[in-house]
Amino acid sequence: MSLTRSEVEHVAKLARLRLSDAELSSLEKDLNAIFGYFDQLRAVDVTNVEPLAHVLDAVNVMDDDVPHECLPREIALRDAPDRTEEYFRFPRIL
Amino acid sequence: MSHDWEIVAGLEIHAQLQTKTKAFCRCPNLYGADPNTLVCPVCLGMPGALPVLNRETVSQAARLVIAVGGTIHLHSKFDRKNYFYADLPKGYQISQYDEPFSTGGAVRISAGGQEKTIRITRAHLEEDAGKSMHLDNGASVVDMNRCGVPLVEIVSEPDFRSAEEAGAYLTVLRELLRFIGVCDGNMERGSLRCDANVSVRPRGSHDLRERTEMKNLNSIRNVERAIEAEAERQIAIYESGGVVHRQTLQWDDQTDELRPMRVKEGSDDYRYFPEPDLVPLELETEFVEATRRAMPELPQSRRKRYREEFGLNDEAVYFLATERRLSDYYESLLDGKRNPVSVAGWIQGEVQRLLKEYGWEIEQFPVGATRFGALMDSVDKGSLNRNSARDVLRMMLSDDRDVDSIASELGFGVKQDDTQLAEIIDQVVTSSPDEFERYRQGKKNLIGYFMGQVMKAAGGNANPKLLQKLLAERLERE
Repeated sequence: MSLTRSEVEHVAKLARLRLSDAELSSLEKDLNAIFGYFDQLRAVDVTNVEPLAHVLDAVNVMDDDVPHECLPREIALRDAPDRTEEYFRFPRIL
Repeated sequence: MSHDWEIVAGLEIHAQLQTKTKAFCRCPNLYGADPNTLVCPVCLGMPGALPVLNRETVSQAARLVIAVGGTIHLHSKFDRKNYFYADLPKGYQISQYDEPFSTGGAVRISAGGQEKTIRITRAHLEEDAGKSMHLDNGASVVDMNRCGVPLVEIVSEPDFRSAEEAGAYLTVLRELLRFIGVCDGNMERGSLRCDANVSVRPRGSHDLRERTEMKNLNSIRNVERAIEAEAERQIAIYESGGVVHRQTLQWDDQTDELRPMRVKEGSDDYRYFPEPDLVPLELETEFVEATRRAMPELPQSRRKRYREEFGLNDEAVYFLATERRLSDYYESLLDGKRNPVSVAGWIQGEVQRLLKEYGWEIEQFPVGATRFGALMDSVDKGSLNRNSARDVLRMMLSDDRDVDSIASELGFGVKQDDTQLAEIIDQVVTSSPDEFERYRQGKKNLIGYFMGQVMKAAGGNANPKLLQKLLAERLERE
């Protein structure tokens, strides 16, 4: 199993990464090396193994429906790259 | 629409649950607060913050699934759906992918004079995104208060063959969600949202053609109009030899136009994977059964009963079996013994009038079922007439004494005393010698005249049955 160059480009696009040709080539090589390990994993016979959704044995970790205190808005917005008085601001899309 | 084509549509409905807090953090789940004041590290997606599932979301989702007759899966898990948008600070939405909360279920609808069953594919838990807005000054901003609000996504099978069917389904489902108290159903505010998947095919064929998805359908009417418009658009493309492409369209309810939003990312592109921050959900059969036992009787069943057992007309049936609190109040007034038609009359008439006058919801109506029931009984026994009972009811709104005390303070209910009534009758008969004489000579229908006169003299407060009895005795007396 291996990734083609255009698949690498597609994944980069989904991850909103703008990459140079050199970076794409380098990542293609690295990713395919990683996929090599997956091929090793695939070789294991898992016929009678239940798929595992979580590494812990715990289930049903839940909280009661009781409100906690929220962050003050000033703190919530403090590290925003761009903001108005009350909102996060973002570049217009489309 | 052309008769050569038929619509094949399915709906995805997102219902915001009516919890006090969000799905994975305990920030309040509240509409209309100041922007970005109901947020915390979890819903803002800050590094290291960990989600914890809200127990109440599970209970409400379970009620919803039971209400549509679906199967709750005892085992389900959460997954991450990855995409980038400014209203999704984590970069992924917590959802359920391959092991959803439930599958199956159905909703009975009636459209075009025909009953039909719409099958439900699945329902799963997920979280809402923030709300982005485009301000007049050109800035795009986002309010994260909605981010993390619990949603149940209900996916239907592509069972709709007309826009009207889709509208009917949404109407029934919305009613049901409201009735069981899991969603307020407010489409304008977005607490109930609808996406439609639409394709068309030559009538009679069974193939499924490429579909498009429409978002932002914020009223039942808009769902219908958008499906119509999109079907027309696709038919025009096919008839001119073109090809329909998979895409997402946005319905603009100002201009009634469909605008392409983006080329739809396939589910591969969402790169779903199990959410490592949440452990799986393992429900007990006993939880499901207890939830089932606690379910109220649903509107469709109540309507059938009101119609068939109570003999109520369609208007009354619909009125009394749509809002849960009103319906429950009606049934507690009946108390298994009062006349369903007469109680319905009270609620549709006087109670509605008072609710409107005071701007109350039914749960704010201050007269409880026991006291109101006693008032109705007084009318049935004949000790109060309807007009007086209305005045008594009005006084009961702010006076919690019993019916008899209020009635006697208002001067009602005293004329039913035999002697007092007999005196009035005597006066009336004595002061109408001509009519009395004609009655004695055989004009028996003059009894109506005497009834009216006595009732007038009694200020409308005579017990009609007693009056008729005493009057007849007096008139026939030798």
